Amino acid sequence: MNGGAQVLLVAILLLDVSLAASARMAVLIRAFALQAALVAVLALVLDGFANPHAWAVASGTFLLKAVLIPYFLDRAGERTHAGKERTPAISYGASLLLAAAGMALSFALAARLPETVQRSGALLGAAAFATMFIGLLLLVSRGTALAQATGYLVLENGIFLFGLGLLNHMPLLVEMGILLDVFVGTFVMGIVVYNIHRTFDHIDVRVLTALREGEEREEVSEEGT
Amino acid sequence: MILTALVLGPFLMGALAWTLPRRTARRKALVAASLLQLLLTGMAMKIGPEPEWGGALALDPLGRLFLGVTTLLFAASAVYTFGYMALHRHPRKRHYVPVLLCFLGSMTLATLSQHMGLFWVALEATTLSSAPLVFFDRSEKSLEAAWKYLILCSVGIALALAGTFFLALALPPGGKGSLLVADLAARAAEMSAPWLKVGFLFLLVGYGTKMGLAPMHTWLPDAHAEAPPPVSALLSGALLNCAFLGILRILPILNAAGLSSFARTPLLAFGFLSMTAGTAFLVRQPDYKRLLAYSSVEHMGILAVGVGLGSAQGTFGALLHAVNHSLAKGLFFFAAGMVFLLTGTKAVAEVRGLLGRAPLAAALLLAGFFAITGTPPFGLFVSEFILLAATFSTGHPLLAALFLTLLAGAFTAMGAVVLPMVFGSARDLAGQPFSRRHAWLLGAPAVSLGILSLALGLWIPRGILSLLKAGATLVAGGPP
Repeated sequence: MNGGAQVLLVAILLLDVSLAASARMAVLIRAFALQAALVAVLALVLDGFANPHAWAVASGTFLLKAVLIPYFLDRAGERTHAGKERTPAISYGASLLLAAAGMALSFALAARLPETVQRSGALLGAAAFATMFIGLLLLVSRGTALAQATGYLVLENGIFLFGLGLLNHMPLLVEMGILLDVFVGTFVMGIVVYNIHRTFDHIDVRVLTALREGEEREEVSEEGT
Repeated sequence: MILTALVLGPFLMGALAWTLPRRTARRKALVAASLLQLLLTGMAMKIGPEPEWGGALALDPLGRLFLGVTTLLFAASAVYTFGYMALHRHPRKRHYVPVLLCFLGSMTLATLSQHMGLFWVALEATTLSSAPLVFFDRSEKSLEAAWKYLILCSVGIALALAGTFFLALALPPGGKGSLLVADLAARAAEMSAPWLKVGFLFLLVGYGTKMGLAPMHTWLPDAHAEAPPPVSALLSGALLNCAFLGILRILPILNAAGLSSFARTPLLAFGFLSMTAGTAFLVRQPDYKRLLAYSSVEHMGILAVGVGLGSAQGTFGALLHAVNHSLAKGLFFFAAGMVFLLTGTKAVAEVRGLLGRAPLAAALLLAGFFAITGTPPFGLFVSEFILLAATFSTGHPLLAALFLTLLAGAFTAMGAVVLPMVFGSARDLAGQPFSRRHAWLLGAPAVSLGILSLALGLWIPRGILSLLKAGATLVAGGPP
């Protein structure tokens, strides 16, 4: 594995830390966008600049994940006045500690990976696991719908890192399909977030509990199906 | 050519429907598109087309089975939509028909794809195209349900994508590996076992989430209960099957690698857990649409148990059960939608004595109850009986006893909720009785599904029987 890839992977890991600790929605989106851009460049570095397939995947990733999706998220953030999340389920300090622990675990896991991925080095595996972990951490710890959507996207970034060494297994059609799904997914999530904001005047999905089984069992919906 | 048409047709019709200005025109386009799809499906089954897209799109026995059920249920649901939306007050939104057709297109792609990556793309597309249908009426509860559905299923399916990548990593390095199911099964012996195992677990949890297996099922009752009934019928009857198909596609690979016993334990565990959780929430369930949703969790558990047994007989039973469940659940959701139109409430406690006031809806509800609980002579009785026999032949009578107890529990719990709704002392209805035309539009799809469910209980046509056998051989590796 060459030095350029190593630098990129370390940068991706650093962004994971910053994602775990950012309270402001705008910062969270920037960090995600930057990370996606790095993943796109990494696709080129790992699979060779001469490979047209790698170029297609890299430019698709860059365009959708580093430009369009962050733009959408930013707009949704402004419209719903997302700003800062003050009371995450797991405090930012604790999140940082968990992130550190998760990274240590990721390196331990990656070191035990079978030979097949050693081509890209254990660092790629570690970065992929760590990014997946941070995505899940965001999903669990944050209450606002937009931060959760960002968590999903970060998780997807991590999984995509795993896929990077596998470009020759995936037809371009499938790679593009995956990107398109992520893009449309963000779009649909944005619509739901916007509607949640319009209906409830906030986007804290933790307080949406009308459907929880066992609570308010008597007053089962009078309103529409 | 014909497979491509099957996949792209609904998307094109959806785009076309979007341009139509009047909603009755859009609904007519929906019915037309669904009938066209039914026709194309029939033609495809008859001619047995060559694989397309470099082998990624093909019609194998499993695909035939699930494609047939999906298309049939969709046609019934399209006709039902016509009646339901005419009577139900809802926001004037243009997207219903176009999005519903995209949903059909992505489900069709899922049933036809032979490539693990393409299947993933299709299944994620089904989530995205059905979420806007879940919060169709923009109520607070439907928004909550849609958000939960989107996030939980997207995250679950993201794990399945990781699992798909792990399958690719399991292939020996060097050479151009493909993720076509047949190629993977052919090379299973050279694949690295640890990666294959990890990949299977990720895929099982991922697609299991989408299939509604406990404990990942928490989104399901919300989404299925809040969606409009024609959509609920598709979510329960067609979409859950597609997710199940994802699990069925991996099993031959594990069998070929000699890991079939590794696959069985988690399948059985998820299966029995889902049966238990589903049945537990049926007990005194206050909302009749949630009742149907929890019953889906229970039936998905039965399917997981069926394939988890590992025998060809169990797999055969599970496949038959999947078909029967789709028909019966479609009927039941259609009946529940009629009850909702008549009473304006989803609360079980406020629906009493329907038989006196609305005999058609009451009779269909009753038929739905008998069909879904596997009362003879409905089809589910046959498949549950085969599955019970398959559990006995594993040599673990305790397993069979547990299976039987849970089935009986579900029957009792559901009966205690549904029977007072049908019989009991009659209450005045909040809504208008159906006109003759609407009774036809709502009743005919439900009755047709009921007749099919009944017919499958009495006699399985030779064509379907050979499909089921071929499917079971494919998944379990031997003839039933």
